[in-house]
Amino acid sequence: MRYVTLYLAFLRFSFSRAMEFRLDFFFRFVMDLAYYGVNVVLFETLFLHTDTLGGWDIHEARVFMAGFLVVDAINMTVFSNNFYWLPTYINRGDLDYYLVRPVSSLFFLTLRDFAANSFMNLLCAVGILVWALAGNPDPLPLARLPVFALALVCGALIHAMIHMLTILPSFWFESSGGLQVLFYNMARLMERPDRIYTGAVRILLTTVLPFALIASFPARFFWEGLDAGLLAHFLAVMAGLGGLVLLLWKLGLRRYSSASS
Amino acid sequence: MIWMGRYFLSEAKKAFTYRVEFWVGFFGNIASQFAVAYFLWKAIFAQRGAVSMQGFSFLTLMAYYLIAPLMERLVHGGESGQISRDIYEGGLSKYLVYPISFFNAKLMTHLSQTVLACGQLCAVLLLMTWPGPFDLPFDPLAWGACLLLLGLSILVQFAMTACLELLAFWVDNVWSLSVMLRMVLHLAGGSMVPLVFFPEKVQTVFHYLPFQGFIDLPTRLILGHASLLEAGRGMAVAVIWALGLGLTARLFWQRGLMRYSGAGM
Repeated sequence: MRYVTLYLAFLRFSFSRAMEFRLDFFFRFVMDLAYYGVNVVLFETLFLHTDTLGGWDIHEARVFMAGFLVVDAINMTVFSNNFYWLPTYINRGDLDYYLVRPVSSLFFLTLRDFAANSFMNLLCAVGILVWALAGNPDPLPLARLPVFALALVCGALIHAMIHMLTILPSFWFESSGGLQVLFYNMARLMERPDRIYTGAVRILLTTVLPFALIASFPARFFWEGLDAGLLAHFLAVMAGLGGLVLLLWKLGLRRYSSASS
Repeated sequence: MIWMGRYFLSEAKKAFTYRVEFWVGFFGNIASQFAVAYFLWKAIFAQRGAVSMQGFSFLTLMAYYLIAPLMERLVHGGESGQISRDIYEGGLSKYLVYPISFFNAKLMTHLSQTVLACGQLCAVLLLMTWPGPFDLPFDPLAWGACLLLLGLSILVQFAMTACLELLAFWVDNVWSLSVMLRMVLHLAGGSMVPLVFFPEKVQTVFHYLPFQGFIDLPTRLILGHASLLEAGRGMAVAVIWALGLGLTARLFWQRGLMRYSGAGM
Protein backbone atom coordinates (compact mmCIF):
# COMPACT_ATOMS: atom_id res chain seq x y z
CA MET A 1 0.00 0.00 0.00
CA ARG A 2 2.92 2.29 0.82
CA TYR A 3 4.28 1.74 -2.70
CA VAL A 4 0.90 2.45 -4.30
CA THR A 5 0.67 5.75 -2.39
CA LEU A 6 4.22 6.57 -3.43
CA TYR A 7 3.49 5.78 -7.08
CA LEU A 8 0.41 8.00 -7.00
CA ALA A 9 2.66 10.81 -5.74
CA PHE A 10 5.04 10.14 -8.67
CA LEU A 11 2.07 10.45 -11.05
CA ARG A 12 0.91 13.72 -9.49
CA PHE A 13 4.37 15.30 -9.75
CA SER A 14 4.92 14.03 -13.29
CA PHE A 15 1.64 15.44 -14.59
CA SER A 16 2.13 18.82 -12.95
CA ARG A 17 5.69 19.03 -14.31
CA ALA A 18 4.52 18.10 -17.82
CA MET A 19 1.96 20.90 -17.75
CA GLU A 20 4.75 23.44 -17.19
CA PHE A 21 6.17 22.78 -20.66
CA ARG A 22 3.05 22.50 -22.79
CA LEU A 23 4.63 22.94 -26.20
CA ASP A 24 7.28 20.32 -25.41
CA PHE A 25 4.47 18.05 -24.17
CA PHE A 26 2.68 18.52 -27.49
CA PHE A 27 5.81 17.94 -29.61
CA ARG A 28 6.63 14.72 -27.79
CA PHE A 29 3.06 13.56 -28.20
CA VAL A 30 3.17 14.25 -31.95
CA MET A 31 6.59 12.55 -32.21
CA ASP A 32 5.19 9.26 -30.91
CA LEU A 33 2.14 9.64 -33.11
CA ALA A 34 4.53 9.86 -36.07
CA TYR A 35 6.06 6.54 -34.96
CA TYR A 36 2.60 4.97 -34.88
CA GLY A 37 1.71 6.44 -38.27
CA VAL A 38 4.91 5.14 -39.85
CA ASN A 39 4.20 1.61 -38.59
CA VAL A 40 0.57 1.61 -39.70
CA VAL A 41 1.58 2.79 -43.19
CA LEU A 42 4.38 0.21 -43.33
CA PHE A 43 2.11 -2.73 -42.47
CA GLU A 44 -0.59 -1.57 -44.88
CA THR A 45 2.06 -1.27 -47.62
CA LEU A 46 3.52 -4.71 -46.93
CA PHE A 47 0.07 -6.28 -47.19
CA LEU A 48 -0.34 -4.80 -50.67
CA HIS A 49 2.26 -7.39 -51.68
CA THR A 50 1.38 -10.41 -49.56
CA ASP A 51 -1.71 -12.12 -48.13
CA THR A 52 -0.12 -13.31 -44.92
CA LEU A 53 2.87 -12.46 -42.80
CA GLY A 54 4.18 -14.93 -40.25
CA GLY A 55 0.93 -16.88 -40.63
CA TRP A 56 -1.32 -13.86 -39.98
CA ASP A 57 -3.62 -12.13 -42.46
CA ILE A 58 -3.86 -8.33 -42.51
CA HIS A 59 -6.49 -8.17 -39.74
CA GLU A 60 -4.50 -10.40 -37.41
CA ALA A 61 -1.26 -8.60 -38.25
CA ARG A 62 -2.89 -5.24 -37.48
CA VAL A 63 -3.72 -6.48 -33.99
CA PHE A 64 -0.12 -7.67 -33.58
CA MET A 65 1.16 -4.27 -34.80
CA ALA A 66 -1.16 -2.40 -32.45
CA GLY A 67 0.08 -4.73 -29.69
CA PHE A 68 3.71 -3.69 -30.13
CA LEU A 69 2.65 -0.04 -30.29
CA VAL A 70 0.95 -0.53 -26.90
CA VAL A 71 4.09 -2.24 -25.53
CA ASP A 72 6.21 0.64 -26.78
CA ALA A 73 3.82 3.21 -25.30
CA ILE A 74 3.83 1.47 -21.89
CA ASN A 75 7.62 1.56 -21.88
CA MET A 76 7.79 5.17 -22.98
CA THR A 77 5.25 6.11 -20.31
CA VAL A 78 6.50 4.14 -17.34
CA PHE A 79 10.21 3.43 -17.77
CA SER A 80 11.83 5.44 -20.56
CA ASN A 81 12.64 8.70 -18.73
CA ASN A 82 13.93 6.80 -15.70
CA PHE A 83 16.14 4.54 -17.80
CA TYR A 84 17.53 7.57 -19.62
CA TRP A 85 18.90 9.08 -16.40
CA LEU A 86 19.95 5.91 -14.57
CA PRO A 87 23.42 5.49 -16.19
CA THR A 88 24.16 9.16 -15.44
CA TYR A 89 23.25 8.69 -11.76
CA ILE A 90 25.48 5.61 -11.55
CA ASN A 91 28.46 7.21 -13.30
CA ARG A 92 28.24 10.51 -11.44
CA GLY A 93 27.84 8.85 -8.05
CA ASP A 94 24.37 10.36 -7.64
CA LEU A 95 22.71 7.14 -6.48
CA ASP A 96 23.37 7.90 -2.79
CA TYR A 97 20.36 10.18 -2.66
CA TYR A 98 18.12 7.25 -3.63
CA LEU A 99 19.87 4.53 -1.67
CA VAL A 100 19.27 6.18 1.69
CA ARG A 101 15.50 6.38 1.18
CA PRO A 102 13.30 3.92 3.08
CA VAL A 103 11.93 2.34 -0.12
CA SER A 104 13.35 -0.07 -2.69
CA SER A 105 15.95 1.84 -4.69
CA LEU A 106 15.10 -0.19 -7.80
CA PHE A 107 11.42 0.75 -7.45
CA PHE A 108 12.25 4.41 -6.91
CA LEU A 109 14.77 4.74 -9.71
CA THR A 110 12.85 2.85 -12.38
CA LEU A 111 9.37 4.25 -11.74
CA ARG A 112 9.82 7.76 -10.35
CA ASP A 113 9.37 9.69 -13.60
CA PHE A 114 6.07 8.93 -15.32
CA ALA A 115 6.00 10.43 -18.85
CA ALA A 116 2.64 12.20 -18.95
CA ASN A 117 2.88 12.97 -22.68
CA SER A 118 3.52 9.30 -23.46
CA PHE A 119 0.46 8.41 -21.42
CA MET A 120 -1.57 10.31 -24.02
CA ASN A 121 0.25 8.25 -26.66
CA LEU A 122 -0.62 5.08 -24.77
CA LEU A 123 -4.28 6.05 -25.10
CA CYS A 124 -3.74 6.55 -28.85
CA ALA A 125 -2.00 3.17 -29.14
CA VAL A 126 -4.96 1.55 -27.39
CA GLY A 127 -7.18 3.40 -29.87
CA ILE A 128 -5.23 1.84 -32.76
CA LEU A 129 -5.69 -1.55 -31.10
CA VAL A 130 -9.45 -0.97 -30.87
CA TRP A 131 -9.46 0.05 -34.56
CA ALA A 132 -7.51 -3.10 -35.47
CA LEU A 133 -9.91 -5.31 -33.50
CA ALA A 134 -13.00 -3.60 -34.86
CA GLY A 135 -11.79 -4.02 -38.44
CA ASN A 136 -11.68 -7.80 -38.16
CA PRO A 137 -14.54 -9.22 -40.28
CA ASP A 138 -14.78 -12.51 -38.33
CA PRO A 139 -16.14 -12.87 -34.77
CA LEU A 140 -13.42 -11.96 -32.28
CA PRO A 141 -12.33 -14.29 -29.45
CA LEU A 142 -13.28 -11.59 -26.94
CA ALA A 143 -12.97 -13.96 -23.97
CA ARG A 144 -9.22 -13.96 -24.61
CA LEU A 145 -8.98 -10.16 -24.48
CA PRO A 146 -8.01 -9.99 -20.76
CA VAL A 147 -5.22 -12.55 -21.36
CA PHE A 148 -4.04 -10.53 -24.38
CA ALA A 149 -3.97 -7.32 -22.31
CA LEU A 150 -2.11 -9.01 -19.46
CA ALA A 151 0.37 -10.60 -21.87
CA LEU A 152 1.04 -7.19 -23.45
CA VAL A 153 1.85 -5.78 -20.01
CA CYS A 154 4.20 -8.76 -19.47
CA GLY A 155 5.71 -8.07 -22.91
CA ALA A 156 6.34 -4.48 -21.85
CA LEU A 157 8.05 -5.79 -18.70
CA ILE A 158 10.26 -8.09 -20.78
CA HIS A 159 11.17 -5.14 -23.02
CA ALA A 160 12.00 -3.04 -19.95
CA MET A 161 14.09 -5.80 -18.39
CA ILE A 162 16.17 -6.32 -21.54
CA HIS A 163 16.71 -2.54 -21.62
CA MET A 164 17.70 -2.62 -17.95
CA LEU A 165 20.27 -5.34 -18.70
CA THR A 166 21.97 -2.95 -21.12
CA ILE A 167 22.05 -0.19 -18.49
CA LEU A 168 23.35 -2.20 -15.50
CA PRO A 169 26.89 -2.61 -16.93
CA SER A 170 27.25 1.12 -16.04
CA PHE A 171 28.15 -0.12 -12.55
CA TRP A 172 31.27 -1.77 -13.98
CA PHE A 173 32.13 0.32 -17.02
CA GLU A 174 32.49 4.02 -17.64
CA SER A 175 29.66 4.02 -20.14
CA SER A 176 27.01 1.57 -21.28
CA GLY A 177 26.05 3.82 -24.20
CA GLY A 178 27.19 1.31 -26.83
CA LEU A 179 25.01 -1.45 -25.36
CA GLN A 180 22.04 0.86 -25.21
CA VAL A 181 22.49 1.83 -28.84
CA LEU A 182 22.56 -1.88 -29.59
CA PHE A 183 19.36 -2.35 -27.59
CA TYR A 184 17.53 0.37 -29.52
CA ASN A 185 18.68 -1.15 -32.80
CA MET A 186 17.69 -4.67 -31.82
CA ALA A 187 14.32 -3.56 -30.42
CA ARG A 188 13.07 -3.28 -34.01
CA LEU A 189 13.16 -7.09 -34.14
CA MET A 190 10.03 -7.15 -31.98
CA GLU A 191 8.14 -5.22 -34.63
CA ARG A 192 7.70 -8.24 -36.90
CA PRO A 193 5.80 -11.49 -36.24
CA ASP A 194 8.02 -14.07 -34.50
CA ARG A 195 7.25 -16.78 -37.07
CA ILE A 196 9.11 -14.99 -39.85
CA TYR A 197 12.36 -15.74 -38.00
CA THR A 198 13.74 -19.18 -38.64
CA GLY A 199 16.59 -21.45 -37.50
CA ALA A 200 19.13 -20.37 -34.92
CA VAL A 201 18.03 -16.72 -35.14
CA ARG A 202 14.54 -17.72 -34.07
CA ILE A 203 15.88 -19.64 -31.06
CA LEU A 204 18.08 -16.68 -30.13
CA LEU A 205 15.24 -14.19 -30.45
CA THR A 206 12.85 -16.19 -28.31
CA THR A 207 15.27 -17.13 -25.53
CA VAL A 208 18.53 -15.25 -24.94
CA LEU A 209 17.49 -12.05 -26.69
CA PRO A 210 13.72 -12.47 -26.45
CA PHE A 211 12.65 -9.53 -28.61
CA ALA A 212 10.56 -11.73 -30.88
CA LEU A 213 8.21 -12.84 -28.13
CA ILE A 214 7.45 -9.38 -26.66
CA ALA A 215 4.47 -8.64 -28.89
CA SER A 216 4.14 -11.81 -30.96
CA PHE A 217 3.32 -14.19 -28.12
CA PRO A 218 0.52 -11.98 -26.74
CA ALA A 219 -0.99 -11.79 -30.24
CA ARG A 220 -0.68 -15.56 -30.57
CA PHE A 221 -2.43 -16.04 -27.21
CA PHE A 222 -5.23 -13.89 -28.56
CA TRP A 223 -5.64 -15.41 -32.02
CA GLU A 224 -4.73 -19.01 -31.29
CA GLY A 225 -5.70 -19.46 -27.65
CA LEU A 226 -3.54 -20.21 -24.64
CA ASP A 227 -1.05 -22.90 -25.51
CA ALA A 228 0.50 -24.34 -22.33
CA GLY A 229 3.96 -24.70 -23.88
CA LEU A 230 3.95 -21.20 -25.28
CA LEU A 231 2.71 -19.74 -21.98
CA ALA A 232 5.38 -21.63 -20.01
CA HIS A 233 8.04 -20.38 -22.43
CA PHE A 234 6.80 -16.79 -22.06
CA LEU A 235 6.68 -16.93 -18.26
CA ALA A 236 10.05 -18.71 -17.99
CA VAL A 237 11.75 -16.00 -20.08
CA MET A 238 10.12 -13.30 -17.97
CA ALA A 239 11.12 -14.94 -14.70
CA GLY A 240 14.67 -15.56 -15.96
CA LEU A 241 15.08 -11.95 -17.00
CA GLY A 242 13.59 -10.71 -13.73
CA GLY A 243 15.99 -12.86 -11.70
CA LEU A 244 18.95 -11.66 -13.75
CA VAL A 245 18.03 -8.00 -13.38
CA LEU A 246 17.64 -8.35 -9.60
CA LEU A 247 20.93 -10.22 -9.30
CA LEU A 248 22.86 -7.69 -11.38
CA TRP A 249 21.25 -4.80 -9.53
CA LYS A 250 22.39 -6.24 -6.18
CA LEU A 251 25.88 -6.98 -7.49
CA GLY A 252 26.01 -3.51 -9.03
CA LEU A 253 25.04 -1.81 -5.78
CA ARG A 254 27.76 -3.79 -3.99
CA ARG A 255 30.23 -2.51 -6.56
CA TYR A 256 28.93 1.08 -6.41
CA SER A 257 31.31 3.36 -4.54
CA SER A 258 29.54 6.76 -4.77
CA ALA A 259 32.57 8.16 -6.55
CA SER A 260 31.91 9.54 -9.97
CA SER A 261 33.73 8.01 -12.90
CA MET B 1 38.18 29.30 -46.59
CA ILE B 2 41.26 28.00 -44.71
CA TRP B 3 39.43 28.22 -41.41
CA MET B 4 36.65 26.07 -42.84
CA GLY B 5 39.18 23.33 -43.67
CA ARG B 6 40.69 23.49 -40.19
CA TYR B 7 37.29 23.48 -38.57
CA PHE B 8 36.31 20.47 -40.68
CA LEU B 9 39.43 18.53 -39.58
CA SER B 10 38.94 19.32 -35.91
CA GLU B 11 35.28 18.24 -36.06
CA ALA B 12 36.25 15.06 -37.94
CA LYS B 13 38.63 14.17 -35.07
CA LYS B 14 35.75 14.57 -32.64
CA ALA B 15 33.61 12.26 -34.76
CA PHE B 16 36.24 9.53 -34.41
CA THR B 17 36.25 9.74 -30.60
CA TYR B 18 34.17 7.24 -28.61
CA ARG B 19 35.01 4.63 -31.22
CA VAL B 20 33.49 1.65 -29.39
CA GLU B 21 30.06 3.26 -29.16
CA PHE B 22 30.36 4.40 -32.76
CA TRP B 23 31.19 0.96 -34.17
CA VAL B 24 28.70 -0.87 -31.96
CA GLY B 25 26.05 1.56 -33.19
CA PHE B 26 27.17 1.14 -36.78
CA PHE B 27 27.23 -2.66 -36.85
CA GLY B 28 24.16 -2.97 -34.62
CA ASN B 29 22.12 -0.74 -36.90
CA ILE B 30 23.20 -2.43 -40.13
CA ALA B 31 22.89 -5.97 -38.74
CA SER B 32 19.47 -5.52 -37.10
CA GLN B 33 18.01 -3.65 -40.08
CA PHE B 34 19.34 -6.27 -42.46
CA ALA B 35 18.15 -9.18 -40.27
CA VAL B 36 14.61 -7.77 -40.08
CA ALA B 37 14.55 -7.14 -43.85
CA TYR B 38 16.01 -10.57 -44.66
CA PHE B 39 13.46 -12.56 -42.65
CA LEU B 40 10.56 -10.29 -43.59
CA TRP B 41 11.13 -10.49 -47.34
CA LYS B 42 12.10 -14.14 -47.21
CA ALA B 43 8.67 -14.82 -45.69
CA ILE B 44 6.91 -12.60 -48.25
CA PHE B 45 8.73 -14.08 -51.27
CA ALA B 46 8.00 -17.61 -49.96
CA GLN B 47 4.32 -16.80 -49.40
CA ARG B 48 3.97 -15.30 -52.89
CA GLY B 49 6.17 -17.93 -54.52
CA ALA B 50 7.60 -15.04 -56.54
CA VAL B 51 11.02 -14.69 -58.16
CA SER B 52 10.84 -10.92 -58.23
CA MET B 53 8.63 -8.19 -56.81
CA GLN B 54 8.36 -4.65 -58.21
CA GLY B 55 11.43 -5.44 -60.30
CA PHE B 56 13.49 -6.56 -57.31
CA SER B 57 14.78 -10.11 -56.98
CA PHE B 58 15.30 -11.27 -53.39
CA LEU B 59 19.06 -10.81 -53.74
CA THR B 60 18.78 -7.29 -55.21
CA LEU B 61 16.40 -6.39 -52.43
CA MET B 62 18.95 -7.57 -49.88
CA ALA B 63 21.61 -5.48 -51.62
CA TYR B 64 19.22 -2.53 -51.29
CA TYR B 65 18.92 -3.14 -47.53
CA LEU B 66 22.70 -3.31 -47.17
CA ILE B 67 23.28 -0.03 -48.98
CA ALA B 68 20.25 1.97 -47.79
CA PRO B 69 21.28 2.35 -44.10
CA LEU B 70 24.71 3.51 -45.22
CA MET B 71 23.16 6.10 -47.51
CA GLU B 72 20.94 7.24 -44.66
CA ARG B 73 23.93 7.51 -42.34
CA LEU B 74 25.85 9.47 -44.93
CA VAL B 75 23.09 12.00 -45.55
CA HIS B 76 21.99 12.31 -41.94
CA GLY B 77 25.48 12.92 -40.59
CA GLY B 78 26.06 12.36 -36.91
CA GLU B 79 24.61 13.79 -33.78
CA SER B 80 21.68 16.16 -34.12
CA GLY B 81 20.96 19.02 -31.72
CA GLN B 82 24.16 21.01 -32.30
CA ILE B 83 22.48 24.24 -33.34
CA SER B 84 19.71 24.08 -30.72
CA ARG B 85 22.23 23.27 -27.96
CA ASP B 86 24.20 26.41 -28.80
CA ILE B 87 21.01 28.45 -28.60
CA TYR B 88 19.84 26.86 -25.33
CA GLU B 89 23.21 27.01 -23.58
CA GLY B 90 24.27 30.41 -24.87
CA GLY B 91 27.16 28.93 -26.88
CA LEU B 92 25.93 30.85 -29.90
CA SER B 93 27.46 34.04 -28.47
CA LYS B 94 30.99 33.01 -29.42
CA TYR B 95 30.01 32.69 -33.07
CA LEU B 96 28.58 36.21 -32.99
CA VAL B 97 31.96 37.64 -32.05
CA TYR B 98 34.13 35.22 -34.08
CA PRO B 99 35.01 36.29 -37.64
CA ILE B 100 33.37 33.12 -38.99
CA SER B 101 29.91 32.33 -40.20
CA PHE B 102 27.80 30.27 -37.81
CA PHE B 103 26.16 28.34 -40.63
CA ASN B 104 29.43 27.57 -42.40
CA ALA B 105 30.89 26.30 -39.13
CA LYS B 106 27.88 24.08 -38.52
CA LEU B 107 27.96 22.86 -42.12
CA MET B 108 31.60 21.85 -41.62
CA THR B 109 30.60 19.93 -38.47
CA HIS B 110 27.84 18.22 -40.43
CA LEU B 111 30.20 17.34 -43.32
CA SER B 112 32.91 16.08 -40.95
CA GLN B 113 30.40 13.62 -39.52
CA THR B 114 29.66 12.28 -42.97
CA VAL B 115 33.32 11.44 -43.68
CA LEU B 116 33.32 8.16 -41.82
CA ALA B 117 29.93 7.17 -43.25
CA CYS B 118 31.32 7.93 -46.71
CA GLY B 119 34.28 5.60 -46.06
CA GLN B 120 31.94 2.86 -44.83
CA LEU B 121 29.70 3.23 -47.87
CA CYS B 122 32.67 3.09 -50.27
CA ALA B 123 34.05 -0.02 -48.55
CA VAL B 124 30.71 -1.85 -48.74
CA LEU B 125 30.15 -0.82 -52.38
CA LEU B 126 33.63 -1.99 -53.28
CA LEU B 127 32.95 -5.37 -51.71
CA MET B 128 29.64 -5.63 -53.48
CA THR B 129 31.08 -4.88 -56.91
CA TRP B 130 33.50 -7.79 -56.42
CA PRO B 131 32.33 -10.94 -58.22
CA GLY B 132 30.10 -12.67 -55.70
CA PRO B 133 26.44 -13.00 -54.79
CA PHE B 134 25.64 -9.31 -55.37
CA ASP B 135 27.93 -8.50 -58.28
CA LEU B 136 26.83 -4.84 -58.48
CA PRO B 137 26.90 -3.33 -61.97
CA PHE B 138 29.41 -0.47 -62.25
CA ASP B 139 27.98 2.28 -64.42
CA PRO B 140 30.18 5.39 -64.05
CA LEU B 141 27.36 7.71 -65.13
CA ALA B 142 24.89 6.27 -62.63
CA TRP B 143 27.48 6.29 -59.84
CA GLY B 144 28.43 9.89 -60.68
CA ALA B 145 24.77 10.92 -60.64
CA CYS B 146 24.40 9.13 -57.31
CA LEU B 147 27.35 11.08 -55.88
CA LEU B 148 25.92 14.40 -57.06
CA LEU B 149 22.50 13.55 -55.69
CA LEU B 150 23.98 12.59 -52.33
CA GLY B 151 25.89 15.88 -52.18
CA LEU B 152 22.68 17.82 -52.78
CA SER B 153 20.80 15.65 -50.29
CA ILE B 154 23.38 16.39 -47.60
CA LEU B 155 22.75 20.11 -48.17
CA VAL B 156 18.97 19.61 -48.03
CA GLN B 157 19.29 17.57 -44.84
CA PHE B 158 21.49 20.25 -43.28
CA ALA B 159 19.07 23.04 -44.24
CA MET B 160 16.11 21.02 -42.96
CA THR B 161 17.81 20.27 -39.64
CA ALA B 162 18.84 23.93 -39.33
CA CYS B 163 15.24 25.07 -39.84
CA LEU B 164 14.00 22.72 -37.12
CA GLU B 165 16.77 23.49 -34.67
CA LEU B 166 16.53 27.25 -35.12
CA LEU B 167 13.04 26.93 -33.66
CA ALA B 168 14.98 26.65 -30.39
CA PHE B 169 14.89 30.46 -30.33
CA TRP B 170 11.17 30.17 -29.57
CA VAL B 171 10.57 26.64 -28.25
CA ASP B 172 11.84 24.88 -25.08
CA ASN B 173 12.76 21.57 -26.68
CA VAL B 174 13.19 20.78 -30.38
CA TRP B 175 14.69 17.32 -29.89
CA SER B 176 11.33 15.63 -30.50
CA LEU B 177 10.96 17.46 -33.83
CA SER B 178 14.32 16.08 -35.00
CA VAL B 179 13.26 12.55 -34.01
CA MET B 180 10.00 13.04 -35.89
CA LEU B 181 11.89 14.17 -38.98
CA ARG B 182 14.06 11.07 -38.77
CA MET B 183 10.98 8.83 -38.66
CA VAL B 184 9.48 10.51 -41.70
CA LEU B 185 12.83 10.19 -43.47
CA HIS B 186 12.88 6.48 -42.58
CA LEU B 187 9.57 5.88 -44.30
CA ALA B 188 9.47 8.47 -47.10
CA GLY B 189 13.19 8.06 -47.84
CA GLY B 190 12.88 4.36 -48.51
CA SER B 191 14.87 3.05 -45.58
CA MET B 192 12.09 0.70 -44.43
CA VAL B 193 10.76 -0.35 -47.83
CA PRO B 194 11.91 0.70 -51.33
CA LEU B 195 9.50 3.37 -52.50
CA VAL B 196 8.35 1.36 -55.53
CA PHE B 197 6.42 -0.87 -53.11
CA PHE B 198 4.09 2.01 -52.17
CA PRO B 199 0.88 2.66 -54.14
CA GLU B 200 1.44 4.83 -57.22
CA LYS B 201 -0.38 7.87 -55.81
CA VAL B 202 1.84 7.83 -52.74
CA GLN B 203 4.91 7.46 -54.95
CA THR B 204 3.85 10.56 -56.88
CA VAL B 205 3.76 12.53 -53.63
CA PHE B 206 7.18 11.13 -52.65
CA HIS B 207 8.63 12.38 -55.96
CA TYR B 208 8.04 15.97 -54.86
CA LEU B 209 9.49 15.48 -51.38
CA PRO B 210 13.24 15.73 -50.79
CA PHE B 211 13.49 12.40 -48.94
CA GLN B 212 13.57 10.16 -52.02
CA GLY B 213 16.98 11.59 -52.92
CA PHE B 214 18.33 10.73 -49.46
CA ILE B 215 18.13 6.93 -49.64
CA ASP B 216 15.88 5.31 -52.23
CA LEU B 217 16.98 7.05 -55.43
CA PRO B 218 20.77 6.93 -54.84
CA THR B 219 20.51 3.28 -53.79
CA ARG B 220 18.49 2.36 -56.87
CA LEU B 221 20.98 4.25 -59.07
CA ILE B 222 23.79 2.11 -57.67
CA LEU B 223 21.73 -1.05 -58.20
CA GLY B 224 20.95 -0.08 -61.79
CA HIS B 225 17.24 0.24 -60.98
CA ALA B 226 16.88 3.96 -61.70
CA SER B 227 17.41 5.93 -64.88
CA LEU B 228 19.50 9.09 -65.30
CA LEU B 229 16.25 10.91 -66.04
CA GLU B 230 14.97 9.97 -62.59
CA ALA B 231 18.29 11.11 -61.13
CA GLY B 232 17.99 14.46 -62.92
CA ARG B 233 14.46 14.95 -61.61
CA GLY B 234 15.63 14.03 -58.10
CA MET B 235 18.43 16.59 -58.32
CA ALA B 236 16.05 19.32 -59.49
CA VAL B 237 13.73 18.56 -56.56
CA ALA B 238 16.73 18.61 -54.17
CA VAL B 239 17.93 22.00 -55.49
CA ILE B 240 14.47 23.52 -55.05
CA TRP B 241 14.17 22.16 -51.51
CA ALA B 242 17.72 23.25 -50.61
CA LEU B 243 16.99 26.81 -51.77
CA GLY B 244 13.60 26.95 -50.05
CA LEU B 245 14.85 25.53 -46.79
CA GLY B 246 18.03 27.63 -46.90
CA LEU B 247 15.96 30.82 -47.24
CA THR B 248 13.64 29.68 -44.45
CA ALA B 249 16.63 28.98 -42.19
CA ARG B 250 17.99 32.44 -42.95
CA LEU B 251 14.67 34.02 -42.04
CA PHE B 252 14.48 32.04 -38.78
CA TRP B 253 18.07 33.03 -38.00
CA GLN B 254 17.43 36.74 -38.52
CA ARG B 255 14.21 36.71 -36.49
CA GLY B 256 15.66 34.41 -33.83
CA LEU B 257 18.72 36.55 -33.20
CA MET B 258 16.42 39.38 -32.17
CA ARG B 259 15.16 37.17 -29.32
CA TYR B 260 18.56 35.74 -28.34
CA SER B 261 19.85 36.92 -24.98
CA GLY B 262 23.05 34.82 -24.73
CA ALA B 263 22.21 33.89 -21.15
CA GLY B 264 21.40 30.25 -21.84
CA MET B 265 18.44 28.46 -20.28
